[in-house]
Amino acid sequence: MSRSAQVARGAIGLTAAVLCSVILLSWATDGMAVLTTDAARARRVLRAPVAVPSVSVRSSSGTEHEVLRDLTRESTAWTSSNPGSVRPRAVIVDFVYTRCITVCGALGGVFQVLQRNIEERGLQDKVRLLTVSFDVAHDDPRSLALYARVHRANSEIWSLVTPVDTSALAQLLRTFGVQVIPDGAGGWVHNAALHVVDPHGRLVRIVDMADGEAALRAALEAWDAVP
Amino acid sequence: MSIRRCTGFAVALLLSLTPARDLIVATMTGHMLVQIPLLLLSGFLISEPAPVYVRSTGLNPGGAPGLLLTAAIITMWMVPRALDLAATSDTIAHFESGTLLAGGVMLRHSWRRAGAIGQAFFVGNLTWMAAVAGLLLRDAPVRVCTTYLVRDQLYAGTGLLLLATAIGVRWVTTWLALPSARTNPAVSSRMVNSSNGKRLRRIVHGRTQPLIASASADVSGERLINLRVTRGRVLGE
Repeated sequence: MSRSAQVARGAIGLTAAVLCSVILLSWATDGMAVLTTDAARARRVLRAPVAVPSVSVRSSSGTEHEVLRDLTRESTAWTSSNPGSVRPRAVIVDFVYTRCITVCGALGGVFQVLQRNIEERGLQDKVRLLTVSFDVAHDDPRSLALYARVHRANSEIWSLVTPVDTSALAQLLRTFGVQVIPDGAGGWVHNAALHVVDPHGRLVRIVDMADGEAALRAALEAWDAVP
Repeated sequence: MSIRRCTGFAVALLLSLTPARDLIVATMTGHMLVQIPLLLLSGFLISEPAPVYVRSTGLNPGGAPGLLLTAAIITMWMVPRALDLAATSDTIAHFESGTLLAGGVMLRHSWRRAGAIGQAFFVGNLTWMAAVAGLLLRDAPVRVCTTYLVRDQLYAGTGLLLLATAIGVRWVTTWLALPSARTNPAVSSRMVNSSNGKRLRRIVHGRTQPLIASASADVSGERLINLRVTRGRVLGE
């Protein structure tokens, strides 16, 4: 091999290595943008909203219930107290299990503050809150109702549901990008966030659970965006 | 096939295709400090140093492309999102095994050719990064992986910090020991192994001198790179 051919081959090898390195690292970080699964999920949702799947849920009032999609669209069946012509609201969704003593309690607190904000600023026609329990086996309507009472949930604003079976649950968790793992002490650990669903039933934003104000802002934007 | 190679293949198979994998990656510590390093190591064991069929292509000058890509692969599997993906998807898990084995093979192919400077650059960068990653994991206020518990994250961070420190210290002490090999008669065979061809010539003043001298008479300068000293015998590969 001549000297120049050697140099050319070396340059090809080096370029290929650099290219492969960039491709691999871009893959892992979603284009050098994120380091964590949660951040990647939030970014994807922001770019391309995801339709919430139609799954059956049971509410804290005990009614075995239409599908969540209808719930987010506020079908007349769900808002029986309201006339059918009510304009659908944006929904802020969180995931909890009622036996949880750590992050779910904090989420409950965040939702309580959000509820107060919605009431004080008169936004109840635009935004509502939805708590989904992923503890299908334990969280019956009574547990949900208790959780609602503890957090002083106003049923006009804040509803609580649990999917009717594990397949419905799995579908929901996948769509919302929530991963639930056992904590080794009989409970669970899960990534907690505030999920904003627009009046069309599309997941449009995921924000940090501590940032209720951002979630409310995003929900109002989503509501405004719908004619 | 040598014992070294058999071990490499056995570990690689065990870690990529058996239930042992699921057990190990069930914890973040197992994933970051057992699964990933062992896969790299098995790739390293499977291959041979700077084989002629790789050198003759001229695509890996001075081992730089190989070390660069290996560093990128190691870095990639320190990203929490990549760990999550590998822990939850079989396809990605196989991708992980494949890239890490390839990384180990490339490391072996490139290591001696890289020379002291290249090696120092590689080890310095990676240990520094791993140590920082370990510190960040220890200090992170939230879980960074959706698959792993926060307690596990603390262990993994501590382990990563310790591992990086150990490798760094080991590297520096080897580095410091090399020049003194001229006056120190007790040059270990290990040290000869871990050095590249050029340095091999320089440390012949130790006990190994006659062995190397007699062997180097038989091989040309290029072949000297592959000299190994094992228990007082000189082997040309």
